[in-house]
Amino acid sequence: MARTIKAEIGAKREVKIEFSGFPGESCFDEAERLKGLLKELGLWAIPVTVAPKTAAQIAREIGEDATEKKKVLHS
Amino acid sequence: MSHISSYHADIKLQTALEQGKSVEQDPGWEILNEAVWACAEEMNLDVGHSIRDYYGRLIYCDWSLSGPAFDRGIGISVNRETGDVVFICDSYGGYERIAGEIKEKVIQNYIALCVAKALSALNYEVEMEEVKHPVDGKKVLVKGVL
Repeated sequence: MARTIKAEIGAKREVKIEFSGFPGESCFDEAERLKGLLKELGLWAIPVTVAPKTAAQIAREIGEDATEKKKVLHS
Repeated sequence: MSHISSYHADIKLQTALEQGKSVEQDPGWEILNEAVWACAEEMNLDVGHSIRDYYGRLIYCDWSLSGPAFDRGIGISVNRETGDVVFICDSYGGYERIAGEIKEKVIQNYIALCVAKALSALNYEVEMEEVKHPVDGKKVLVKGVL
């Protein structure tokens, strides 16, 4: 599964970032790297909430990925 | 494991200042310039370097955005000692809404550009998309795939 980072930027300076496909705790390391780069660019990201994904959410992501692979094989 | 984080974003151009350089050499300076021009294009505004107050007095700033319906304009200046980004506007007389809208768009553009550039620097393949939300206004989605 590809590693994906999705950021949703709202009008009131709120930013929601979703990390998918990272093994173990590596998504937290990637989040720190991203935060450091953003700070260098002048963007200070102050954490509001950090929520690990539930097993169901992760299973759904993996399921979606498997479905996409099937589509490629048939085409 | 994967996770979802939410952040509140603030703009402060300190990288160049910390290296003893001028704030104009900060990587954020060019991004702010891009964010201002993108807002001007989106809202059909003119980019300049000065605004006017209620009495018509000229106030110089690093960037200004103004238009036919908002000739007084809103200014953006970066503090040369602290890197703080300040929005300046004399909104007296019913200009609060338009001034607030422009400020929000510039900041939103800035955040989106920063996230896209940071993801590119981490070797992600980046896609950007804008989504109009009936209640929350415009949202910018930035997706990076590695």
